[in-house]
Amino acid sequence: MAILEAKNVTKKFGTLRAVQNLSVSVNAGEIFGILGPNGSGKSTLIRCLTGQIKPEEGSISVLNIDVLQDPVGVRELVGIVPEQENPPSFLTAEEYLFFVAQIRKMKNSEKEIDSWFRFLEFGDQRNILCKDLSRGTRQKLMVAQAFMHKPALAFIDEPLINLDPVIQKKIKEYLVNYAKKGNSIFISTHILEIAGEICDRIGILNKGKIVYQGKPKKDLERFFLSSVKHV
Amino acid sequence: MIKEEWRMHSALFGNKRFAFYPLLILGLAFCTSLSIIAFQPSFSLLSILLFVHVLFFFFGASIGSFGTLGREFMNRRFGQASLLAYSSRNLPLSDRTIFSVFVVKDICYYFAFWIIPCILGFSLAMPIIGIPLTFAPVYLLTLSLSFLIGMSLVFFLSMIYARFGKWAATALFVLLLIAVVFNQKSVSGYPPWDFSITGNLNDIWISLGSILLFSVLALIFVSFDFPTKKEAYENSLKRTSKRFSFAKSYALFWAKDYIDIRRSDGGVGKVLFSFLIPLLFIWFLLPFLTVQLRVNFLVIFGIFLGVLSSSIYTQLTRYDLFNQYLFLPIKTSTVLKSKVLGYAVLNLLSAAILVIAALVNSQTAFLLPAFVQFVLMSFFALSVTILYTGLSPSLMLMDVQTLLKYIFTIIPVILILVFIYALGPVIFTLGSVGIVLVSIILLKRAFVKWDFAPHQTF
Repeated sequence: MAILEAKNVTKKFGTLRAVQNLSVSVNAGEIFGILGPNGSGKSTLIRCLTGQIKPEEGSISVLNIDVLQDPVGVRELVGIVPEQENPPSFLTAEEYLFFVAQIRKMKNSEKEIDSWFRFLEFGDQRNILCKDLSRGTRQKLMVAQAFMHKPALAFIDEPLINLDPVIQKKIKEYLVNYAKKGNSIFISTHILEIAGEICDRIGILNKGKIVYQGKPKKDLERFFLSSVKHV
Repeated sequence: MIKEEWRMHSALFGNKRFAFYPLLILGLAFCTSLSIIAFQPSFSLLSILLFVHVLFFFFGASIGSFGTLGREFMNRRFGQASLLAYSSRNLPLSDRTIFSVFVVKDICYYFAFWIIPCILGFSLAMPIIGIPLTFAPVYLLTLSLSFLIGMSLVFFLSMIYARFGKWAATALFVLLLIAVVFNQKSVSGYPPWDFSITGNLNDIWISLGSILLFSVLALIFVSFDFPTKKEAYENSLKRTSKRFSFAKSYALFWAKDYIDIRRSDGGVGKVLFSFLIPLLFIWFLLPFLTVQLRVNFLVIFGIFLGVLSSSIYTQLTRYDLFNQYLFLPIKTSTVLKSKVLGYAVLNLLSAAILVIAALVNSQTAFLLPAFVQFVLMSFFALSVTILYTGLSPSLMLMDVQTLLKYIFTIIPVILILVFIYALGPVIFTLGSVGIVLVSIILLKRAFVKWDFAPHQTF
């Protein structure tokens, strides 16, 4: 059963067509990877799918909610790790998660926050102001805020790029187990190994258009390069 | 660096429209200079010109401090983007070379965009004020020198801050201030201003010498290693939210605003000063104006207090970027509503100032109409600010188009408030109801507008 269905989505920025007539669907319990070179439209697509920006054309349904009609309603149900990790400067990491938990109306959020800090090995970084955290730590914080409320569908934009190998491994395992419980993940990345390792299906995006949608191929690198015509 | 400065400003303040900024400055400088006429019966022209020179000194100082200490602002707006000035570590260039280029860049840039248009605006008004136009080149020189003294002094103090910490810089600044305050002779002989009166060439050499001395010292001992520390705090958001529980669903946002302001550089003091210093100017200058115009001081003070109070909204939104909320289930209007309520509470401070003004000036009989004027103006100015700028007044009011729209919406209402008060209580009451209704409509439109507006992301 598709819990995300986007049909013929087009998003323009001035004369640039960042996403062109794109259709994509994600099923329950599935990890769907969207791959593409820099500037291919991956982040724009995620921002359209989560109602952060409005496409000019097309329809998007997430968890049976029309994203164009009720973007806030969609964001109540999903989790999002944005491309730019930029939490409010003057809150500490712990205060930021508390802030997000309150906006999401989570009960007993403190236990959940503690468990995320332990899982992502924050140590005493939890009490440091977000502006003073390293990029990697801020990235971990954004992962925690996206999954804290156990969303049925999570959108994650380049989630592992600034993280050390230990945390990368932990998060990859977490994502796989999370999907096994029936939840879905829409992951954008240009790291092909991640897609090959954890994704059930992938879409390859080039210049705003999906050029392939299906199971990850065995020789993903060669397939990817031929798809985006870099060979 | 010039390109970087242009791109930074144009990205922040209305893209290519920023190119019209010098014209706006020229126009504003011209209009402000004309207001000198109203003060001429109360102050000598020489005192007014000293005031203008001191203003240019402080303007230079503010540019210097933003240039070297503005990283907090930059990081808030652009994430981890950094100015070229901070890139000496990853380029084969010394701090000294980068800093020298940085200073020259700042001088060229601000002269082109601010100083020259400002002086031209003042020069255009000179014949009307009663100063011969032949003095224009003299003021171009002396006001430029005043700007440069302020700027070089702050560059020097920034170097002291970077080398010896903020207490050393503050102590030095206080010492300089004491030296000036306790030596009135040196104030009255502020060299650039003194030259504009006496034509004594020594004043030029002293001014140039000061600029050179501050700049050279700053350059010799320059360092970009500003003392930084990773600040750690216990979770006070929860405790603070509880303290604001009377604000119901907005308590969390109030708590965040409170923490943001308290922990940012300058903290609560910055908020108060940005509001109180212009207010002190108004308090000091308005009596002279109201005597000339034969209107009641307190009622007009109430109107200006309302306009200035809207700057509190700017301070409340200084630490919010909506792209930090975009991926959360929250509407822009929810954040805006929390700001409006916070603003209403903070306006109690302004109301207290109005009461003090009434008591000090023995005008308690006018307190009620003045209070009504203040509330009307404050509410209207807030609605207009939110409608035009949403969560980013500190940025969007620097956009020429938005600023002009703001000015041309606010000024007629100031005039209307003055006139309806003069026309008697019935008209005043009817007019007040009208302004409240218009403000409510504008505020509602603002909420709808910003809920559906694409948000600026950098």
